Amino acid sequence: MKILFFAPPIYPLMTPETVKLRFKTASPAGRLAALLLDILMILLGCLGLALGGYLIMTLFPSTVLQNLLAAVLLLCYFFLRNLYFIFFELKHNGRTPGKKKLGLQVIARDGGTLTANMVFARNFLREVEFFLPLTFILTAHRQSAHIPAWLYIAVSAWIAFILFFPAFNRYGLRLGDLAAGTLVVMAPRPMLLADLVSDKAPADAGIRFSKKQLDPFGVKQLKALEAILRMPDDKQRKVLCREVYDKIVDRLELTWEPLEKDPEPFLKAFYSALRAELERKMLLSSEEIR
Amino acid sequence: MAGPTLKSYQFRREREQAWRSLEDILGRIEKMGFDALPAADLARLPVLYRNVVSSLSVARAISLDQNVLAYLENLAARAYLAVYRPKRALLETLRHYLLGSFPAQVWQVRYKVLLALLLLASGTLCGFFLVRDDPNYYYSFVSEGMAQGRDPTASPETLREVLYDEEDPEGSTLTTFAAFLFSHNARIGIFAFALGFLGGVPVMLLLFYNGLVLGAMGALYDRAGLGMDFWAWISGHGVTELLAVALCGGAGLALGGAVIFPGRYRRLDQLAMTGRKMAAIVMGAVILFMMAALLEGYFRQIVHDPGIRYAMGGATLLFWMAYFFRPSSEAS
Repeated sequence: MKILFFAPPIYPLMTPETVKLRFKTASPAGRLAALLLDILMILLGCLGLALGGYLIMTLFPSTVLQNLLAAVLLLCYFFLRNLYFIFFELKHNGRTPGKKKLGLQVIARDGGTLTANMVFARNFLREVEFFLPLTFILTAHRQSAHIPAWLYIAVSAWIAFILFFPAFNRYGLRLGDLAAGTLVVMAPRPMLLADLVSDKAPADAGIRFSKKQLDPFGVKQLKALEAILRMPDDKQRKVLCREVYDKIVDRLELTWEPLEKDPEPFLKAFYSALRAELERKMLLSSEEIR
Repeated sequence: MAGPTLKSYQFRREREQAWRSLEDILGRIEKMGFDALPAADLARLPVLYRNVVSSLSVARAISLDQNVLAYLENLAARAYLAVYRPKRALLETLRHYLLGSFPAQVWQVRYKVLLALLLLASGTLCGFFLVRDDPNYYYSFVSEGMAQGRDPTASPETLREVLYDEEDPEGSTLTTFAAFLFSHNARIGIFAFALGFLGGVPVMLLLFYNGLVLGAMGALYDRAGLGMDFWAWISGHGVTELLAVALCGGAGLALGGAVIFPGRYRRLDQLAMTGRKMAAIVMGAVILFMMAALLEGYFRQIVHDPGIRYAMGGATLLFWMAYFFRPSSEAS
């Protein structure tokens, strides 16, 4: 079976109703992409402000207005750089435009609401995590004469530790998440597909499987079969269907001739029977079989 | 056919309608925002949420349809996020913060803020006495960008100009200056807080260094015979600004303390709890920085008399002491 499942670490969150919701933590690549998108938007905003300011200044050459404009621009720049993240995370309940695009979300680790304090904390710490390394890298060469080598190495090592901190812990928390009690999770939208078990009479009404025949198969095989049957209709799917079909027929050692042309009705019937059997077992026995 | 007899199949047929309507409501929330939702839908949301949560529990117990399970997990998570959002309106949050939680939080960490003030003061004294005796120390403490022409080689007239800006009748450059000051100082404040994550020592060094710079400049003006004028200029806005720096420094020290001494809790939890509270303080400090910048920008132009400047300093000091004096909040 050539099916790969990417399994992000699952964070078990206990809601106030004492239901355990399983959130998938965001991948580092996704978070980086979201961050870059957000920074790009900030840069575009600054550029827009600069252009707009320049335009207004050339149109209205009055010193008072120009100074006022410069002040407003400086303020906007400050808010853009420092408060962009805070503003969006507060307004849209933990999603900046970059995160929205990538399907990510910031949640509170303890299961409660994402409070304003949390948003402040996780964003203020970005100064240490991101801008400190940035300024250090950009300006270190200028002062290289004054910084002894060991100090440079030590600071670089410390900065590397901060930068790669998310890689060292299980849920990809960065320093800001640690200090705020937050977590970044994926918020994808799977569609509800039609149930593979249908009540329409299939073309091969007559395929039945005995309990003994279904015994060797377990939940893993059921999951894999479902994944294949839900794949979009293309060449790979046909190949896999044929593979599975052959494997099952071998296992079952059928005495009658199964359909050779199109394995799909057979597989669907097999799936329904296997699922019914396993669910029955699940309900009747007290042990966990998944 | 196996369909109708499967419990999971029947379960899904019964509940699917409710799931679809919840999905529809959530989609609308995410597209148009929470406030655009009509009241009827708003009332249905908690009911549908509980419905889907119970569906999830049932599905986990009886169904092996991976698609349904994944769908319900996700739907329940999205509904949870929609239901458990912040419930207070923005203005009310602001009011509650400014009048209640901000000063109370500061009062709770008052000893660390006092420590920060102490570090600033000691730095100032050191800088002052060092530079007064040997002006060359000035160059070690104050970088060129910060000095902007104010160094031991400047004449007393140049220095005086900075304190009493009489050449700018419209006061328009002040707006720019004030905005620049605010953003610059606020960034330093935020940095001081964030530095707390590395333990207390870097924050202490930063505070001490800021004090050094201040003291060095004071000595500079003292040598030019403008000592009293300089401190008058500083005190007008400086009380607010130095207090803001001390607040950020105190918050940073508290954060460092949480890293090193977690107390009864796990380090992670202690860090999260402290971080959240201290970030609230830093946000308030940013507001203080804004006020200080306005004072520095405009007050300096409008008022020239050193006596009034000192009076302003004293008045702001009393105001902040009264604002942050909250002994009754000790219990929380």
